[in-house]
Amino acid sequence: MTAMGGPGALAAAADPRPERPVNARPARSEVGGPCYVYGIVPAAVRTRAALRGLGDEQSRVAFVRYRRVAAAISGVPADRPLGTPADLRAHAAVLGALARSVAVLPMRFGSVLPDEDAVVARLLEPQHVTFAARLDELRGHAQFTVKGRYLGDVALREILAEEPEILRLRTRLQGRDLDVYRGEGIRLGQLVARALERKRAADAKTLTTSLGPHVAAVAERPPASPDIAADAAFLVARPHRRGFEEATEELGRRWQGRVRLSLMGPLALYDFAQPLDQRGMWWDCSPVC
Amino acid sequence: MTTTTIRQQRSYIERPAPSGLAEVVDLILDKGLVIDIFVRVSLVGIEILTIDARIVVASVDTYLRFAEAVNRVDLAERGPKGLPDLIGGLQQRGARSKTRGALEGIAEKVKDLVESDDDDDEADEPAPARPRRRRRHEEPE
Repeated sequence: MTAMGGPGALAAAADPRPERPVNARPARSEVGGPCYVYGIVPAAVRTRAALRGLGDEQSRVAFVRYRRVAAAISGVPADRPLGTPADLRAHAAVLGALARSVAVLPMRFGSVLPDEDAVVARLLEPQHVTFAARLDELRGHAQFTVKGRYLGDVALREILAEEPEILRLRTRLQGRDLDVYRGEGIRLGQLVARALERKRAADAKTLTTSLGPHVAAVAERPPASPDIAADAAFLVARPHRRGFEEATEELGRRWQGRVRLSLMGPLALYDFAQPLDQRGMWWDCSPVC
Repeated sequence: MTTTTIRQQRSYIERPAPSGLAEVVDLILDKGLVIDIFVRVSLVGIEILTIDARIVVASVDTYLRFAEAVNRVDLAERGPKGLPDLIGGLQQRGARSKTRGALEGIAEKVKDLVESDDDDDEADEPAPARPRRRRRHEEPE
């Protein structure tokens, strides 16, 4: 097991502050005690400087290697529970920085093992064949997520234009106190919620079919709030990245004034880390694979 | 290729850095490999955030909020769609804040929860990841 190299570009990614000189640390046993595990990467991973890990400023990410795979680890703050905003961001930043150069199978936030030996004995040694196979399969791929939000009242306006029953009920309730007309209010709300679900399903389908030709797989994500029109993770091979970005741009243009699209990535393979056959949501859809 | 070209190419979509707390929470929670050999470490507020970030629509309270939202839509006024002078990003943002209150109003509760300490967490304060819990979305159906 070995770790990081000299100074360079990757450090800046995990650390928003100005880069400072990275002191040369020993190649092994960087983390004395419990190890926070960020994710699994190919053993050949090289970062030009240590990434900053979660916890204090001195925390650095190291790699514990076993055969063809490596775990990205750092120490764990001993004096407090994990879960501050800074911890969540550090987890995502480390994985994001790695994902720019290699395929990364992320661990779930909060994965800790007692020490580096345990990382090998209990994580890498028993699983390395599976991890290596998955990393081979996903080599050259990164995840992108595309999320669309309805602008202002757009979804409700469309629903009112498309669903006569909702318009009728709304007209009847206009100006009335919903505390008094509670039953009808609930009924109206239910109809709106259902109409919104249908609308969202149609928009999600538009999103996945528009981008489908450029991706190896899609995982739809459940909407985290009611104004979400579509939210999905896409597995994109490096040569198709540009086409994928252009198709996203084109959909953004088509939906202008209606749905605001935001694109994040390249990211670690958050939605694609599990083997294909364990997920129902996968689609193989393109000439890519 | 010039910077201008890139900017033009990207003018219809946003490319946020995945570093805002809301984006991060959305991205990483419930995601990633889980292997049961891991040591249990104490986590602050994470399970609760998970629940709050995935508020289910099916509750009487939420239905009433949807009803209120649809009642507030002013059909006499044209939406941002089709108004060419609202196309610019800045203007759109202005329009958005004016028309806020429909679905975004419902979404706000969630956003409050995950975004409220976006500004101050760089200070390394060991505060929990979430503010006071709100119960109003969680009434049984």
